[in-house]
Amino acid sequence: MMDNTNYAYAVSRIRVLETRLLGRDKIDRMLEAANAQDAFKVLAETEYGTHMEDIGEAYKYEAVLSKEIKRVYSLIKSLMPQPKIMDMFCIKYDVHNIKVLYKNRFLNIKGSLPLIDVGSIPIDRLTEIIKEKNYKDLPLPIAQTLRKLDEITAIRPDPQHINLMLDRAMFEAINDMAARFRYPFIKELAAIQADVTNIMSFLRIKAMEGGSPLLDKVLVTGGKLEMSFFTEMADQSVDAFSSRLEYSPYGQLLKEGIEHFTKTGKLSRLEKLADDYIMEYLREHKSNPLGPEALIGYLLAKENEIKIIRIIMVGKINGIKSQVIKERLRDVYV
Amino acid sequence: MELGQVYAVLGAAVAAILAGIGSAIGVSTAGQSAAGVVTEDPDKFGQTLLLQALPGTQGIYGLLIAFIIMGKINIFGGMVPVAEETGLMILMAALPVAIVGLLSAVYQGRVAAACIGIIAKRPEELGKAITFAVLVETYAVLALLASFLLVNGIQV
Repeated sequence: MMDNTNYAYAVSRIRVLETRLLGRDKIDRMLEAANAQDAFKVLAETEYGTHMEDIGEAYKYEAVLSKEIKRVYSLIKSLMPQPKIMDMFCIKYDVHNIKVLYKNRFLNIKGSLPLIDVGSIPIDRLTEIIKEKNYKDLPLPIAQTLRKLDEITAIRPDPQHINLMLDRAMFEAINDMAARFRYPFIKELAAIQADVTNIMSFLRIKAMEGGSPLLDKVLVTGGKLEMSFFTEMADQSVDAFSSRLEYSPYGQLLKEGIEHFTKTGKLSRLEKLADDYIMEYLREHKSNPLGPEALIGYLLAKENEIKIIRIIMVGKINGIKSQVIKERLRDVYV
Repeated sequence: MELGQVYAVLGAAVAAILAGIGSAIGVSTAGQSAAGVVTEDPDKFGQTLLLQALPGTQGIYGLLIAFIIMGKINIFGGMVPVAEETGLMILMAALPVAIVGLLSAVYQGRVAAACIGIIAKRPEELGKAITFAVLVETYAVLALLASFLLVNGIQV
Protein backbone atom coordinates (compact mmCIF):
# COMPACT_ATOMS: atom_id res chain seq x y z
CA MET A 1 0.00 0.00 0.00
CA MET A 2 1.34 3.39 -0.93
CA ASP A 3 0.67 6.75 0.59
CA ASN A 4 -2.28 7.35 -1.62
CA THR A 5 -3.58 10.79 -0.78
CA ASN A 6 -0.79 12.48 -2.75
CA TYR A 7 -2.08 10.88 -5.89
CA ALA A 8 -5.49 12.56 -5.84
CA TYR A 9 -4.23 15.78 -7.44
CA ALA A 10 -1.96 14.12 -9.98
CA VAL A 11 -4.52 11.57 -11.13
CA SER A 12 -7.30 14.05 -11.73
CA ARG A 13 -4.95 16.31 -13.68
CA ILE A 14 -4.15 13.31 -15.82
CA ARG A 15 -7.88 12.65 -16.27
CA VAL A 16 -8.20 15.99 -18.01
CA LEU A 17 -5.04 15.40 -20.06
CA GLU A 18 -6.34 12.02 -21.17
CA THR A 19 -9.15 13.82 -22.97
CA ARG A 20 -6.51 15.60 -25.06
CA LEU A 21 -4.87 12.42 -26.30
CA LEU A 22 -5.39 11.81 -30.00
CA GLY A 23 -8.64 9.95 -30.54
CA ARG A 24 -9.62 7.65 -33.38
CA ASP A 25 -11.14 10.53 -35.36
CA LYS A 26 -7.94 12.61 -35.40
CA ILE A 27 -5.89 9.59 -36.38
CA ASP A 28 -8.33 8.71 -39.16
CA ARG A 29 -8.13 12.27 -40.44
CA MET A 30 -4.33 12.06 -40.49
CA LEU A 31 -4.57 8.77 -42.33
CA GLU A 32 -7.03 10.12 -44.89
CA ALA A 33 -4.98 13.26 -45.49
CA ALA A 34 -3.95 13.70 -49.13
CA ASN A 35 -0.25 14.11 -48.30
CA ALA A 36 2.22 14.45 -45.46
CA GLN A 37 1.78 18.20 -45.18
CA ASP A 38 -2.00 17.84 -44.70
CA ALA A 39 -1.49 15.13 -42.07
CA PHE A 40 0.92 17.45 -40.32
CA LYS A 41 -1.74 20.17 -40.32
CA VAL A 42 -4.16 17.86 -38.48
CA LEU A 43 -1.46 17.39 -35.86
CA ALA A 44 -1.17 21.15 -35.48
CA GLU A 45 -4.75 21.26 -34.12
CA THR A 46 -3.79 19.04 -31.18
CA GLU A 47 -1.48 19.34 -28.16
CA TYR A 48 1.43 18.97 -30.56
CA GLY A 49 0.55 22.33 -32.07
CA THR A 50 2.44 24.19 -29.35
CA HIS A 51 5.73 22.73 -30.60
CA MET A 52 4.99 23.53 -34.21
CA GLU A 53 5.19 27.30 -34.22
CA ASP A 54 8.60 27.39 -35.86
CA ILE A 55 8.41 23.98 -37.50
CA GLY A 56 6.33 24.17 -40.67
CA GLU A 57 7.61 21.35 -42.82
CA ALA A 58 6.11 17.91 -42.43
CA TYR A 59 9.43 16.10 -42.75
CA LYS A 60 10.60 17.74 -39.53
CA TYR A 61 7.95 15.84 -37.56
CA GLU A 62 10.63 14.10 -35.47
CA ALA A 63 11.58 17.42 -33.87
CA VAL A 64 7.95 17.90 -32.81
CA LEU A 65 7.69 14.39 -31.41
CA SER A 66 10.91 14.69 -29.42
CA LYS A 67 9.77 18.00 -27.92
CA GLU A 68 6.48 16.38 -26.93
CA ILE A 69 8.07 13.35 -25.29
CA LYS A 70 10.35 15.66 -23.32
CA ARG A 71 7.38 17.75 -22.21
CA VAL A 72 5.36 14.72 -21.15
CA TYR A 73 8.19 13.14 -19.19
CA SER A 74 8.99 16.31 -17.30
CA LEU A 75 5.28 16.82 -16.57
CA ILE A 76 4.79 13.31 -15.18
CA LYS A 77 8.07 13.55 -13.26
CA SER A 78 6.81 16.69 -11.57
CA LEU A 79 3.39 15.16 -10.84
CA MET A 80 4.47 11.72 -9.62
CA PRO A 81 4.33 11.66 -5.79
CA GLN A 82 6.99 8.93 -5.81
CA PRO A 83 9.48 10.18 -8.39
CA LYS A 84 11.53 6.99 -8.07
CA ILE A 85 8.84 5.13 -10.00
CA MET A 86 9.74 7.23 -13.02
CA ASP A 87 13.23 5.73 -13.14
CA MET A 88 11.65 2.51 -14.32
CA PHE A 89 10.38 4.27 -17.41
CA CYS A 90 13.23 6.72 -17.95
CA ILE A 91 15.77 3.94 -17.96
CA LYS A 92 15.11 2.96 -21.56
CA TYR A 93 16.27 6.42 -22.61
CA ASP A 94 19.28 6.21 -20.29
CA VAL A 95 20.21 2.88 -21.81
CA HIS A 96 19.72 4.24 -25.31
CA ASN A 97 22.03 7.14 -24.48
CA ILE A 98 24.57 4.84 -22.83
CA LYS A 99 24.62 2.64 -25.91
CA VAL A 100 25.23 5.60 -28.19
CA LEU A 101 27.87 7.19 -25.96
CA TYR A 102 29.60 3.93 -25.28
CA LYS A 103 29.85 3.03 -28.92
CA ASN A 104 31.08 6.54 -29.72
CA ARG A 105 33.73 6.33 -27.05
CA PHE A 106 35.06 2.84 -27.57
CA LEU A 107 34.27 2.01 -31.14
CA ASN A 108 34.70 5.44 -32.70
CA ILE A 109 31.42 5.20 -34.52
CA LYS A 110 30.56 8.47 -36.19
CA GLY A 111 27.15 9.69 -37.23
CA SER A 112 25.34 7.51 -34.74
CA LEU A 113 21.81 7.90 -33.41
CA PRO A 114 20.90 11.12 -31.61
CA LEU A 115 20.85 11.22 -27.82
CA ILE A 116 17.45 11.60 -26.17
CA ASP A 117 17.36 13.93 -23.19
CA VAL A 118 14.50 12.24 -21.33
CA GLY A 119 16.42 9.83 -19.12
CA SER A 120 16.86 10.03 -15.37
CA ILE A 121 20.53 10.99 -15.80
CA PRO A 122 21.28 14.25 -17.66
CA ILE A 123 23.25 13.74 -20.87
CA ASP A 124 26.24 15.83 -19.69
CA ARG A 125 26.57 13.71 -16.60
CA LEU A 126 26.17 10.51 -18.59
CA THR A 127 28.85 11.60 -21.08
CA GLU A 128 31.20 12.17 -18.17
CA ILE A 129 30.39 8.80 -16.62
CA ILE A 130 31.13 6.93 -19.83
CA LYS A 131 34.22 8.99 -20.59
CA GLU A 132 35.75 8.44 -17.16
CA LYS A 133 34.55 4.84 -16.89
CA ASN A 134 33.19 5.78 -13.52
CA TYR A 135 29.98 3.73 -13.43
CA LYS A 136 29.14 3.75 -9.73
CA ASP A 137 26.21 6.18 -10.06
CA LEU A 138 24.44 3.97 -12.60
CA PRO A 139 21.97 1.27 -11.58
CA LEU A 140 23.97 -1.74 -10.41
CA PRO A 141 23.19 -4.22 -13.23
CA ILE A 142 24.10 -1.60 -15.83
CA ALA A 143 27.32 -0.63 -14.05
CA GLN A 144 28.34 -4.27 -13.81
CA THR A 145 27.57 -4.88 -17.47
CA LEU A 146 29.59 -1.85 -18.53
CA ARG A 147 32.58 -3.06 -16.52
CA LYS A 148 32.27 -6.45 -18.19
CA LEU A 149 31.96 -4.77 -21.57
CA ASP A 150 35.10 -2.74 -20.91
CA GLU A 151 37.05 -5.97 -20.65
CA ILE A 152 35.44 -7.56 -23.70
CA THR A 153 35.54 -4.57 -26.03
CA ALA A 154 39.21 -4.05 -25.27
CA ILE A 155 39.85 -7.36 -27.00
CA ARG A 156 37.06 -7.59 -29.56
CA PRO A 157 34.55 -4.77 -29.96
CA ASP A 158 31.11 -5.83 -31.16
CA PRO A 159 28.24 -3.31 -31.36
CA GLN A 160 25.53 -5.96 -31.43
CA HIS A 161 26.96 -7.54 -28.31
CA ILE A 162 26.93 -4.16 -26.56
CA ASN A 163 23.27 -3.69 -27.44
CA LEU A 164 22.21 -7.12 -26.26
CA MET A 165 24.08 -6.99 -22.99
CA LEU A 166 22.82 -3.54 -22.12
CA ASP A 167 19.22 -4.49 -22.95
CA ARG A 168 19.53 -7.38 -20.59
CA ALA A 169 21.01 -5.20 -17.87
CA MET A 170 18.16 -2.75 -18.37
CA PHE A 171 15.55 -5.41 -17.64
CA GLU A 172 17.48 -6.53 -14.58
CA ALA A 173 17.55 -2.94 -13.36
CA ILE A 174 13.80 -2.61 -14.02
CA ASN A 175 13.13 -5.80 -12.05
CA ASP A 176 15.16 -4.47 -9.13
CA MET A 177 13.19 -1.24 -9.14
CA ALA A 178 9.82 -2.99 -9.51
CA ALA A 179 10.65 -5.29 -6.59
CA ARG A 180 11.49 -2.30 -4.42
CA PHE A 181 8.01 -0.81 -4.79
CA ARG A 182 6.08 -3.93 -3.76
CA TYR A 183 3.15 -2.68 -5.77
CA PRO A 184 1.41 -5.42 -7.77
CA PHE A 185 0.48 -3.18 -10.70
CA ILE A 186 4.09 -2.15 -11.29
CA LYS A 187 5.49 -5.64 -10.85
CA GLU A 188 2.95 -7.07 -13.24
CA LEU A 189 3.69 -4.38 -15.81
CA ALA A 190 7.42 -5.09 -15.62
CA ALA A 191 6.73 -8.81 -16.00
CA ILE A 192 4.47 -8.29 -19.02
CA GLN A 193 7.08 -6.09 -20.69
CA ALA A 194 9.76 -8.73 -20.12
CA ASP A 195 7.49 -11.50 -21.45
CA VAL A 196 6.55 -9.54 -24.54
CA THR A 197 10.21 -8.71 -25.19
CA ASN A 198 11.16 -12.37 -24.88
CA ILE A 199 8.33 -13.56 -27.10
CA MET A 200 9.31 -11.05 -29.79
CA SER A 201 13.01 -11.94 -29.54
CA PHE A 202 12.20 -15.63 -29.69
CA LEU A 203 10.16 -15.24 -32.87
CA ARG A 204 12.69 -12.89 -34.48
CA ILE A 205 15.38 -15.46 -33.89
CA LYS A 206 13.09 -18.16 -35.26
CA ALA A 207 12.63 -16.08 -38.39
CA MET A 208 16.40 -15.78 -38.75
CA GLU A 209 18.31 -18.66 -40.35
CA GLY A 210 20.59 -20.29 -37.80
CA GLY A 211 19.85 -17.74 -35.12
CA SER A 212 19.26 -20.16 -32.26
CA PRO A 213 22.69 -19.76 -30.61
CA LEU A 214 21.76 -16.13 -30.11
CA LEU A 215 18.71 -17.01 -28.00
CA ASP A 216 20.63 -17.34 -24.74
CA LYS A 217 22.04 -13.88 -25.22
CA VAL A 218 18.79 -12.05 -25.90
CA LEU A 219 16.42 -13.47 -23.30
CA VAL A 220 15.74 -11.10 -20.45
CA THR A 221 14.78 -11.86 -16.86
CA GLY A 222 11.71 -10.85 -14.90
CA GLY A 223 8.93 -12.31 -17.04
CA LYS A 224 6.26 -14.73 -15.93
CA LEU A 225 7.40 -17.15 -18.62
CA GLU A 226 10.60 -18.80 -17.47
CA MET A 227 13.73 -18.36 -19.59
CA SER A 228 14.06 -22.14 -19.62
CA PHE A 229 10.69 -22.36 -21.38
CA PHE A 230 12.09 -20.41 -24.32
CA THR A 231 15.31 -22.43 -24.52
CA GLU A 232 13.24 -25.62 -24.40
CA MET A 233 11.13 -24.42 -27.29
CA ALA A 234 14.14 -23.34 -29.34
CA ASP A 235 14.12 -26.44 -31.54
CA GLN A 236 10.38 -26.61 -31.99
CA SER A 237 8.12 -25.02 -34.58
CA VAL A 238 6.51 -21.63 -34.20
CA ASP A 239 3.09 -23.28 -34.11
CA ALA A 240 4.14 -25.56 -31.28
CA PHE A 241 5.36 -22.48 -29.40
CA SER A 242 2.05 -20.76 -29.98
CA SER A 243 -0.01 -23.75 -28.85
CA ARG A 244 2.07 -24.16 -25.69
CA LEU A 245 1.08 -20.61 -24.77
CA GLU A 246 -2.51 -20.99 -25.90
CA TYR A 247 -3.93 -20.77 -22.39
CA SER A 248 -1.49 -18.16 -21.14
CA PRO A 249 -2.53 -14.50 -21.11
CA TYR A 250 -0.64 -14.15 -24.40
CA GLY A 251 -2.57 -16.90 -26.17
CA GLN A 252 -4.86 -14.66 -28.18
CA LEU A 253 -2.24 -12.23 -29.40
CA LEU A 254 0.13 -15.04 -30.37
CA LYS A 255 -2.55 -16.90 -32.30
CA GLU A 256 -3.45 -13.90 -34.42
CA GLY A 257 0.11 -12.61 -34.73
CA ILE A 258 1.62 -15.95 -35.68
CA GLU A 259 -1.09 -16.61 -38.25
CA HIS A 260 -0.05 -13.38 -39.96
CA PHE A 261 3.61 -14.26 -39.51
CA THR A 262 3.35 -17.66 -41.19
CA LYS A 263 1.33 -16.12 -44.04
CA THR A 264 3.58 -13.14 -44.72
CA GLY A 265 6.83 -13.83 -42.85
CA LYS A 266 6.47 -10.46 -41.12
CA LEU A 267 6.32 -9.82 -37.39
CA SER A 268 4.78 -6.37 -37.71
CA ARG A 269 1.29 -7.61 -36.85
CA LEU A 270 2.55 -9.31 -33.70
CA GLU A 271 4.46 -6.20 -32.69
CA LYS A 272 1.26 -4.20 -32.98
CA LEU A 273 -0.73 -6.78 -31.02
CA ALA A 274 1.91 -6.88 -28.28
CA ASP A 275 1.73 -3.10 -27.91
CA ASP A 276 -2.06 -3.30 -27.85
CA TYR A 277 -1.86 -5.93 -25.13
CA ILE A 278 0.18 -3.65 -22.89
CA MET A 279 -2.18 -0.74 -23.59
CA GLU A 280 -5.13 -2.95 -22.66
CA TYR A 281 -3.45 -3.85 -19.36
CA LEU A 282 -2.92 -0.16 -18.60
CA ARG A 283 -6.50 0.69 -19.59
CA GLU A 284 -7.87 -1.95 -17.22
CA HIS A 285 -6.00 -0.44 -14.27
CA LYS A 286 -6.20 3.26 -14.89
CA SER A 287 -9.41 3.81 -12.93
CA ASN A 288 -7.70 3.86 -9.51
CA PRO A 289 -8.08 7.48 -8.34
CA LEU A 290 -5.33 7.23 -5.71
CA GLY A 291 -2.47 5.32 -7.30
CA PRO A 292 0.24 5.65 -9.93
CA GLU A 293 -1.69 3.62 -12.53
CA ALA A 294 -3.25 6.55 -14.36
CA LEU A 295 0.05 8.44 -14.51
CA ILE A 296 1.97 5.50 -15.88
CA GLY A 297 -0.88 4.69 -18.22
CA TYR A 298 -0.86 8.22 -19.59
CA LEU A 299 2.91 8.21 -19.98
CA LEU A 300 2.95 4.98 -21.95
CA ALA A 301 -0.16 6.02 -23.88
CA LYS A 302 1.73 9.11 -25.00
CA GLU A 303 4.65 6.99 -26.15
CA ASN A 304 2.18 4.79 -27.98
CA GLU A 305 0.56 7.83 -29.56
CA ILE A 306 3.96 9.12 -30.70
CA LYS A 307 4.61 5.74 -32.26
CA ILE A 308 1.29 6.00 -34.12
CA ILE A 309 2.11 9.47 -35.39
CA ARG A 310 5.56 8.35 -36.49
CA ILE A 311 4.11 5.43 -38.46
CA ILE A 312 1.60 7.72 -40.16
CA MET A 313 4.15 10.43 -40.96
CA VAL A 314 6.73 8.00 -42.31
CA GLY A 315 4.03 6.36 -44.40
CA LYS A 316 2.68 9.65 -45.71
CA ILE A 317 6.11 11.05 -46.55
CA ASN A 318 6.92 7.89 -48.49
CA GLY A 319 3.54 7.88 -50.22
CA ILE A 320 2.35 4.59 -48.77
CA LYS A 321 -1.39 3.80 -49.11
CA SER A 322 -3.42 4.59 -46.01
CA GLN A 323 -4.80 1.05 -45.88
CA VAL A 324 -1.27 -0.33 -45.51
CA ILE A 325 -0.38 2.23 -42.85
CA LYS A 326 -3.57 1.44 -40.98
CA GLU A 327 -2.67 -2.22 -40.54
CA ARG A 328 0.35 -1.24 -38.49
CA LEU A 329 -1.37 1.27 -36.25
CA ARG A 330 -1.71 0.51 -32.57
CA ASP A 331 -4.93 0.89 -30.62
CA VAL A 332 -5.41 4.20 -28.90
CA TYR A 333 -5.63 4.46 -25.10
CA VAL A 334 -8.81 6.47 -24.75
CA MET B 1 -18.22 17.41 39.08
CA GLU B 2 -19.52 13.86 38.82
CA LEU B 3 -17.95 11.07 36.78
CA GLY B 4 -21.27 10.70 34.91
CA GLN B 5 -20.98 14.25 33.65
CA VAL B 6 -17.41 13.57 32.49
CA TYR B 7 -18.61 10.57 30.46
CA ALA B 8 -21.39 12.60 28.91
CA VAL B 9 -19.02 15.42 27.92
CA LEU B 10 -16.62 12.84 26.53
CA GLY B 11 -19.47 11.45 24.42
CA ALA B 12 -20.18 14.88 22.94
CA ALA B 13 -16.47 15.47 22.32
CA VAL B 14 -15.90 12.10 20.64
CA ALA B 15 -18.81 12.63 18.26
CA ALA B 16 -17.49 16.03 17.18
CA ILE B 17 -13.82 14.99 17.07
CA LEU B 18 -13.94 11.73 15.15
CA ALA B 19 -16.61 12.72 12.65
CA GLY B 20 -14.79 16.03 12.17
CA ILE B 21 -11.46 14.32 11.50
CA GLY B 22 -13.12 12.04 8.97
CA SER B 23 -14.67 14.96 7.14
CA ALA B 24 -11.42 16.89 7.11
CA ILE B 25 -9.60 13.95 5.53
CA GLY B 26 -12.39 13.24 3.06
CA VAL B 27 -12.76 16.85 1.96
CA SER B 28 -9.01 17.21 1.56
CA THR B 29 -8.68 14.11 -0.61
CA ALA B 30 -11.53 15.26 -2.82
CA GLY B 31 -10.13 18.79 -2.78
CA GLN B 32 -6.75 17.71 -4.09
CA SER B 33 -8.48 15.82 -6.80
CA ALA B 34 -10.60 18.85 -7.69
CA ALA B 35 -7.49 21.02 -7.78
CA GLY B 36 -5.97 18.66 -10.35
CA VAL B 37 -8.94 19.05 -12.68
CA VAL B 38 -9.18 22.82 -12.21
CA THR B 39 -5.45 23.21 -12.98
CA GLU B 40 -6.10 21.98 -16.50
CA ASP B 41 -9.70 23.10 -16.88
CA PRO B 42 -10.76 26.04 -14.65
CA ASP B 43 -14.35 25.97 -15.97
CA LYS B 44 -15.03 22.85 -13.91
CA PHE B 45 -14.70 24.64 -10.57
CA GLY B 46 -18.41 24.56 -9.71
CA GLN B 47 -19.00 20.91 -10.48
CA THR B 48 -15.90 19.69 -8.67
CA LEU B 49 -16.66 21.88 -5.66
CA LEU B 50 -20.00 20.17 -5.26
CA LEU B 51 -18.30 16.79 -5.08
CA GLN B 52 -15.61 18.07 -2.77
CA ALA B 53 -18.22 19.24 -0.26
CA LEU B 54 -19.96 15.87 0.05
CA PRO B 55 -17.63 14.26 2.63
CA GLY B 56 -18.10 17.36 4.79
CA THR B 57 -21.52 16.31 6.09
CA GLN B 58 -20.20 13.73 8.58
CA GLY B 59 -18.56 16.50 10.59
CA ILE B 60 -21.91 18.26 10.76
CA TYR B 61 -23.66 15.07 11.93
CA GLY B 62 -21.07 14.65 14.67
CA LEU B 63 -21.56 18.21 15.77
CA LEU B 64 -25.35 17.74 15.75
CA ILE B 65 -25.14 14.79 18.15
CA ALA B 66 -22.64 16.73 20.28
CA PHE B 67 -25.19 19.57 20.54
CA ILE B 68 -28.02 17.23 21.48
CA ILE B 69 -25.87 15.73 24.24
CA MET B 70 -24.93 19.22 25.43
CA GLY B 71 -28.62 20.13 25.57
CA LYS B 72 -29.44 16.95 27.42
CA ILE B 73 -26.96 17.61 30.22
CA ASN B 74 -27.81 21.31 30.10
CA ILE B 75 -24.19 22.31 29.77
CA PHE B 76 -24.99 25.98 29.15
CA GLY B 77 -27.21 26.27 32.21
CA GLY B 78 -25.05 24.81 34.96
CA MET B 79 -25.26 21.13 34.02
CA VAL B 80 -27.68 18.66 35.53
CA PRO B 81 -26.40 15.80 37.69
CA VAL B 82 -25.70 12.66 35.62
CA ALA B 83 -25.46 9.19 37.12
CA GLU B 84 -22.33 7.27 36.26
CA GLU B 85 -24.11 4.61 34.15
CA THR B 86 -26.23 7.25 32.42
CA GLY B 87 -23.07 9.13 31.46
CA LEU B 88 -21.56 5.94 30.10
CA MET B 89 -24.71 5.28 28.11
CA ILE B 90 -24.50 8.73 26.54
CA LEU B 91 -20.88 8.06 25.62
CA MET B 92 -21.87 4.76 23.99
CA ALA B 93 -24.75 6.43 22.18
CA ALA B 94 -22.32 8.87 20.59
CA LEU B 95 -20.13 6.09 19.15
CA PRO B 96 -22.13 5.25 16.00
CA VAL B 97 -21.92 8.74 14.57
CA ALA B 98 -18.33 9.14 15.76
CA ILE B 99 -16.87 5.93 14.29
CA VAL B 100 -19.06 5.54 11.22
CA GLY B 101 -18.70 9.26 10.60
CA LEU B 102 -14.90 9.01 10.67
CA LEU B 103 -14.64 6.04 8.33
CA SER B 104 -17.45 6.90 5.95
CA ALA B 105 -16.08 10.42 5.41
CA VAL B 106 -12.60 9.08 4.58
CA TYR B 107 -14.03 6.60 2.08
CA GLN B 108 -16.54 9.05 0.69
CA GLY B 109 -13.59 11.33 0.02
CA ARG B 110 -12.03 8.59 -2.09
CA VAL B 111 -15.22 8.02 -4.05
CA ALA B 112 -15.56 11.77 -4.55
CA ALA B 113 -11.96 11.90 -5.84
CA ALA B 114 -12.75 9.15 -8.32
CA CYS B 115 -15.99 10.87 -9.34
CA ILE B 116 -14.09 14.08 -9.96
CA GLY B 117 -12.31 11.97 -12.58
CA ILE B 118 -15.71 11.51 -14.24
CA ILE B 119 -16.19 15.28 -14.28
CA ALA B 120 -12.75 15.69 -15.88
CA LYS B 121 -13.89 13.67 -18.86
CA ARG B 122 -17.66 13.93 -18.98
CA PRO B 123 -18.94 17.01 -17.16
CA GLU B 124 -22.46 16.24 -18.40
CA GLU B 125 -22.49 13.15 -16.13
CA LEU B 126 -22.38 15.16 -12.90
CA GLY B 127 -25.61 13.54 -11.69
CA LYS B 128 -24.17 10.04 -11.90
CA ALA B 129 -20.95 11.13 -10.24
CA ILE B 130 -22.85 12.63 -7.32
CA THR B 131 -25.00 9.51 -6.98
CA PHE B 132 -21.93 7.31 -6.44
CA ALA B 133 -20.54 9.60 -3.78
CA VAL B 134 -23.90 10.09 -2.07
CA LEU B 135 -24.43 6.35 -1.64
CA VAL B 136 -21.62 6.31 0.92
CA GLU B 137 -23.53 9.01 2.78
CA THR B 138 -26.34 6.53 3.50
CA TYR B 139 -24.33 4.85 6.22
CA ALA B 140 -23.32 8.09 7.85
CA VAL B 141 -27.03 9.00 7.96
CA LEU B 142 -27.94 5.61 9.44
CA ALA B 143 -25.29 6.05 12.13
CA LEU B 144 -26.60 9.55 12.82
CA LEU B 145 -30.08 8.11 13.21
CA ALA B 146 -28.83 5.43 15.59
CA SER B 147 -26.95 7.94 17.72
CA PHE B 148 -29.90 10.34 17.66
CA LEU B 149 -32.42 7.75 18.81
CA LEU B 150 -30.04 6.40 21.45
CA VAL B 151 -29.22 9.79 22.94
CA ASN B 152 -32.88 10.79 22.87
CA GLY B 153 -33.94 7.58 24.60
CA ILE B 154 -31.63 8.03 27.57
CA GLN B 155 -33.36 9.61 30.55
CA VAL B 156 -31.13 11.96 32.54
